[in-house]
Amino acid sequence: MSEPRRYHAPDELDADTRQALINLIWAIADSKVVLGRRYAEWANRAPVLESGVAAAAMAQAELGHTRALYMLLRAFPEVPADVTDEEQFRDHYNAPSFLDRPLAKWTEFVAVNLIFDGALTEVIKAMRGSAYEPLAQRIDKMLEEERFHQMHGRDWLRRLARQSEAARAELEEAVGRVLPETLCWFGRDDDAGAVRLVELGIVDATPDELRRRLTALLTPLLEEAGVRVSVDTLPWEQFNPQTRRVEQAA
Amino acid sequence: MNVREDTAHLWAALKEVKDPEFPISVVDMGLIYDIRRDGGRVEVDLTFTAMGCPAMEFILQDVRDRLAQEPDVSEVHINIVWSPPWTADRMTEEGREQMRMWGVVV
Repeated sequence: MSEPRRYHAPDELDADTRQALINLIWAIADSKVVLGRRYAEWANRAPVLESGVAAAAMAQAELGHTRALYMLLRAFPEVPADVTDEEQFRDHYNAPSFLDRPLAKWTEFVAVNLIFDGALTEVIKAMRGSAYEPLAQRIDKMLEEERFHQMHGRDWLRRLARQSEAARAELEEAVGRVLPETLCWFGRDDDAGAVRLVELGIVDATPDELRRRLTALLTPLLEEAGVRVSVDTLPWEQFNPQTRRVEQAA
Repeated sequence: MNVREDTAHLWAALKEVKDPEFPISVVDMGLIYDIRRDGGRVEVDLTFTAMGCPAMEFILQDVRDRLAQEPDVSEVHINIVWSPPWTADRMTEEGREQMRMWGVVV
């Protein structure tokens, strides 16, 4: 069997693949920059000092990943320069709508930490050994740093669920808000770009497979914590595949 | 660490560049993966302990400035590399000893 082809620069990819890869990296980078900001806002508000420190450390990691990902995007001439300038604030980010505003409660922080940060980690994991070499080189370091984010989310899920019925119920509500848009965030399974990225070995899983992997990871954790959430239908009608956001009605 | 004869003095020069967070050189921290040269052009492969390292810009500038002081260096190019990821195993024995002196077990 011949080795799959590896790509070292954008101009080795066809236009459709480039667009699909840009869309994916842009969404991850933008989501991480906004997630980092939301984490940082809890650095001196967390219920215990250690978690405030953890929130700051996680924010720093997310912003670091953003920097490494924007550097990748800069190699694509079709990406506007203001997108990859991490020093500048933009009006719009390709990040889920539940990150548009500061996370009001610690339970929301935990839900985002566990579920959405978990989803980002799943998609990054699916790019281990990616055929797009500049991306593959950044993956192991990101995953190593994300390990701790996952531990933090899981520990707090258990802790809040044990704390009181009110905390558990509040957490359930937050999970119910974060989970559907997170599942949409992976994209539609028939998205031609996503299919192309899998065909070329740039990503090793289709959007449906990523949804399955995340759900398989979360279901036992949520069940064990007694957090019951059923997502019967996903809000595809409001989902914008370009920005990967579920656009909320004004 | 892959020190070739023609770059040995450049590695020695970078022993003078300290990590701003701990007064340990970037060489002893194991942040320098490789140094190559082609005439006056020097290429450095460098990593950081974390992707969100707050001291990134300082370290890059210090590395550039120190290498530029070498009379046989006319151009410095730094590649930031993340693979393989940095671990404490990459530190030199001297670096570990200094770390212990600062109360950090590695």
